[in-house]
Amino acid sequence: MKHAASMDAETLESLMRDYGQEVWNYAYLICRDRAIADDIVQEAFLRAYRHFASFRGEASVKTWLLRITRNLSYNYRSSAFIRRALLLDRIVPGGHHRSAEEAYLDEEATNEVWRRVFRLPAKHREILLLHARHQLSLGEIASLLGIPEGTAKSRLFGARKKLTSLLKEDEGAHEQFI
Amino acid sequence: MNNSSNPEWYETLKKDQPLRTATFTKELAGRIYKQALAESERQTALPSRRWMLAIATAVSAMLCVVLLFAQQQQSAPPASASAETAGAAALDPDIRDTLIHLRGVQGFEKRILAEKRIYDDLVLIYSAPPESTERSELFVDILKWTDYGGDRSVGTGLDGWALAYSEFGTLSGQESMPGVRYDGLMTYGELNVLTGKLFKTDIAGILVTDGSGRQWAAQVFPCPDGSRYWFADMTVPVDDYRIDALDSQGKVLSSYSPS
Repeated sequence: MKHAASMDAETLESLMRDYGQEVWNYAYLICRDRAIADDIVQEAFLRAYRHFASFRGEASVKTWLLRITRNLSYNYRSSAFIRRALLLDRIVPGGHHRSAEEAYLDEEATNEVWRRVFRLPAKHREILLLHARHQLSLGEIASLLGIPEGTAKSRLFGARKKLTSLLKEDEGAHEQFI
Repeated sequence: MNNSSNPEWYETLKKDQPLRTATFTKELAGRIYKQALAESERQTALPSRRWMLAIATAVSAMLCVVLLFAQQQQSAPPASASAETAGAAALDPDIRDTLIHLRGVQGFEKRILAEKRIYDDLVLIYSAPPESTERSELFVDILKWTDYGGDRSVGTGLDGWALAYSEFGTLSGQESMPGVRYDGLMTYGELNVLTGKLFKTDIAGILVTDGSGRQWAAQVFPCPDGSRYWFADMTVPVDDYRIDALDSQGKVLSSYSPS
């Protein structure tokens, strides 16, 4: 993409067409809340539109969009986490409940692998999305997450190990059932 | 790590979208597009206003310089600006609102009761739910400037934490002294916030005194249910402190020392 001082409406449209779903997926993967993902995506594209001049062309435009999305998602997450932790501390729910988002994921996840990815801790979900789906290199992931490359590598290793083991457990349970 | 060492399920993640249904809908894209265009139109209409604002600012600045010069002629030179706020970044109200409002909750815009700069890089904001909700709840938001290593221009540059104070569930309602409840101490780095509630109308304020005699007056905020929250924020470690309930004349009505 040509680097310009400001973004025109046509470019915004083309960015949304090419990366809208991927940006939404990334926000949802971090927050696991559809309404919040909608809000974050809206804000991410508006910021990209407003601050296109700050895109220096060092990374791809997709990585730049993912970076904006990540900053917004974690800003939200860190404020929402404490609020929820405090409220949960004061409300004791009775019985076992599956949250609306969990029910949605069970229905909507494309396949068992993605269903399992959504159950992983956020940092594992995130690194698998970036490496497996977006095919980013470890260097790009480290830069996006703001961590050393070695940390990214060990985090990815941990995430892969965890998911492989969960999928094997599933296979075992399935075989027993048959 | 190369492609040959990737587990077989990698291909599934690469090939398939996470969710069956497209969630980045045409409606959402349309909404973003419309808002972006509306912003552009507003901006193109702005230069004349900006120009007027610049002139007004310049005139104000000149007036300030003239007044300051006149004052200096009459009295001693004014004290220098506080070191605490010198060089501090200004808090953009739009970014502040984006971070503190409950995103995803339509119409839930907090009413800011007090905003306090703690350090160069930290702001403490006390706020309440919208009046229409009649909720007896108070929020404490901490916004901190964060250096994303050169990426400030694309992020907000700020991180946010929020605490909600409310009467949900079976929170013990025991008073620590007559008409006053002490709920605890919240800390963030060197920032300490003591908090609690007031239930008697003759209590006008709360004063916190530490072992070395330093004192802090708490901020008191009313709630729709008639009770009031109090918050005393301090930027030094506090180990040994006493909480005094004061009447409107500053007379101590009762005291409590958390063990």
